[in-house]
Amino acid sequence: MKRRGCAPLLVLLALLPSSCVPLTFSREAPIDFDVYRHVGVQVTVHGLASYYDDQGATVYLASELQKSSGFDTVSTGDTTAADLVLNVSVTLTELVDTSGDSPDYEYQADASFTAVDPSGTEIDIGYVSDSSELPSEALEDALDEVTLHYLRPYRL
Amino acid sequence: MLEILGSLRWMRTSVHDRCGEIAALARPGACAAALVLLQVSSASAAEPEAAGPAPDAEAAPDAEAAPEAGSASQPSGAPPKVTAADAAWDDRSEESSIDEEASAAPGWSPDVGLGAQVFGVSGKAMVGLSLRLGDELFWGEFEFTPIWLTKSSSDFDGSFVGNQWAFYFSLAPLRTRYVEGLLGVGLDVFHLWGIHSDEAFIALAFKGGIYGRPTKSVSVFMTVRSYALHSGGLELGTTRDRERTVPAVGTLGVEWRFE
Repeated sequence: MKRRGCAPLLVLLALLPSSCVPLTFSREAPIDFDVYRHVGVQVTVHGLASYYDDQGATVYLASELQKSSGFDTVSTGDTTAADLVLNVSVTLTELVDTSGDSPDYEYQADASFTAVDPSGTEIDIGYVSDSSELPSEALEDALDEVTLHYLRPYRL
Repeated sequence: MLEILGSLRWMRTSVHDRCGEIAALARPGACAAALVLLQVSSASAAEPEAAGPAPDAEAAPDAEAAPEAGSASQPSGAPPKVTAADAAWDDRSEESSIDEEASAAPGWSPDVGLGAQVFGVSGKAMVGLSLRLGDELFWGEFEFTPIWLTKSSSDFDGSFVGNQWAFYFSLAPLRTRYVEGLLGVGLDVFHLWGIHSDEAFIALAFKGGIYGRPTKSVSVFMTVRSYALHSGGLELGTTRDRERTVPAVGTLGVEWRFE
């Protein structure tokens, strides 16, 4: 009984190495990064803006895009040298849950973004949202989602 | 007999009235202990004369008058002796009842299988852990598998791309001493945090597995899974060159069973 039960398994074990299948992860680019190599970034923060000013948010997004996006060059502000200007508007909202013994605070960041070329043509548009227990973290998470949208395309 | 009952009624009323004072001086269980003691005394006093004379017979006339007057709140006469109750009687009874419940309740002790498995994928190294909990027919399965690229790509500099998590609910319709067959449904989650912290793919998967048990504590297993639904960008059975092959992946592993 023991030998009969193990025999099919041994056959399968022997066959498996020759039956490896591909598993591919891929991400398509939302825009043509060969055409739009240089992006200028502008972020404006609304709502609970005191937690993060526009300049700080712009620098954060620019550094994240430089690290992970498909753009070759990322600069802050509406620079004339850029192939594309990415305008991001983030609204930070405080959500209070009073159903418990003590109020729970959560912060939601809604970011809408528009990418326009130097002629003013809208190339890409999008909306992302994220939330966190800290307002600065919620804002950074939303900006990370913008970076994820412009992630360098891959096929691995 | 009536005298004894009257005496006990007086004592119960007194204890009720003095409960606040007793609670301030003694442990909270003392009042309840005294009352229970009186209840027990009342029950034993209902027995015939064999119980013997009451310890304090002088209280009899007053005790008889009290119920007739309909006023039990102000008893008269000297209070009979009350035997001191053990203040910790309720603690012991709680403990013993818990012990009884614990010994009486049939505890569910699931079988646990901890394993290591390798995925049969090309271009990647996926070697990870599997854990399953269950009892004969029903099993919950968890998997954790780091993912490395073994075939370099111009799209990615490093080799470590992230990890796979899996959660399955499985049934084992085939169960013998040496062979076990499982069929399950669950989720495969690929968190590619080596690429970006928020990059992830998810798939609804069906999985079948055969476990061979040469000994009671060790199994050698093989599973096959396929994705019924999946995120865009997750392609099982498709090469980087977009060539399609079989959309199912197998694993091989060893499991240690703890029963």
